[in-house]
Amino acid sequence: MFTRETPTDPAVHTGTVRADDEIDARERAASLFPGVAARWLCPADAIDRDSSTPLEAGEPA
Amino acid sequence: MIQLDTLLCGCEHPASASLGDPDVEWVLEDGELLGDRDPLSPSERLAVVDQLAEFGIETLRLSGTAGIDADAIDELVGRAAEQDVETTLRLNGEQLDRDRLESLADAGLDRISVVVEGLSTPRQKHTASDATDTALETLRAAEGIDLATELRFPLQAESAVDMEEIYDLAGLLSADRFRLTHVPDDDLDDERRRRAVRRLADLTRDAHERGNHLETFLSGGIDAGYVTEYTRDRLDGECATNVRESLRERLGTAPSPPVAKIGPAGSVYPGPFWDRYALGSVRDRPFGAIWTDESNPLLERLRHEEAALPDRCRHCEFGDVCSGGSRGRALVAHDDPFEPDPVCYVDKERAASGSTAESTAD
Repeated sequence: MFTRETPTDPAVHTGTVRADDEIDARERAASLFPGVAARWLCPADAIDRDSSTPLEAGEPA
Repeated sequence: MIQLDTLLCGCEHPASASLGDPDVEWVLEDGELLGDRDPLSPSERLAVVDQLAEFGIETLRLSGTAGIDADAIDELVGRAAEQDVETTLRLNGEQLDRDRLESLADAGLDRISVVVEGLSTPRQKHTASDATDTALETLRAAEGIDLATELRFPLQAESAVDMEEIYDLAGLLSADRFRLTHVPDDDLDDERRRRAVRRLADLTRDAHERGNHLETFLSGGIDAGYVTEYTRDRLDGECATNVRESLRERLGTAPSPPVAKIGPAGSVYPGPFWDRYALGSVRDRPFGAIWTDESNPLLERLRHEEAALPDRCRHCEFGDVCSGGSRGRALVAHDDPFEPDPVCYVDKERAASGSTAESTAD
């Protein structure tokens, strides 16, 4: 989920909603972020994660 | 979280350990939370412990560990212990024998926690009574091992009458702590919740007088209003004033949100009941960056107690000691995290009418 707080703000990633279907996802996003200028929802499996910083354990601090 | 024995018996509350850092609940295995994502690998889990320690997390509660390799759990616990993160292992029906408990204690585990939902009666299903037996057997096995023990009792309509006996069992099995938790239950009305907490408070004071120092905890902050009322009705004026002051101080120093939850694939949730909304994943960003993100308007609102308060709570007599309970429970019950917590059990009419009058405890 990406939200834009005001019409001039950039869209920022504001989390993930888990829902049964697209309509449910939209409703859940709307109930959590009711006052924003825009909400963008994208199915998780449509996102390609290509990170250059994998989660790896090093020496503990 | 309210420690009832210290609060009622010493009329004081221990100083809050930290301001701003939440406790972390980490569910290592849960098919529904995991969905179709890959679970964190053992190496990734160790990296998450490092992230938590680096951020300053002091208290970690592990659950969903039944299907995880024992050596991997020991390694995780050891990693946390090396970095002074206090770790509790919360069991949900699985039984651990003495050898396994010793291994966990050697790895650095601080506390083992079992859940007892009720006692075996002919009315109960066999699975429920089996789970109770395994929990009690685990507590028995832990006696004499350098490991603190906790018995969790979720208050439910069906088993509320068992509470006193379960509290006694916790003492008999040398548990260090009895913890009452609230779960939504339509069959448990406010008066029955008040009666249960009143009884637990009485039991705690009686036990203390008899020299039995079983710690009694109430989970979350939703009990602060009723505890204030209890002390006002049952303790002397000075003690009641001290208790209210302690609860106020607790509220002032409690982190908001108070608990962060991590799922099996590394998703970070803003609390224990937020399974359908995750803030982000530790695979993408360190825990601290997710938790302190100021660009998320929902997290910002949760962070600021006044903005997160449901309307009804703004007029409540106990608004100085209670921040409105769990926003996650409200989300599950109302699809809106800023509605009232469904398990709030203060006398709403009385609390609302008392909000403008000066409390006798002030």
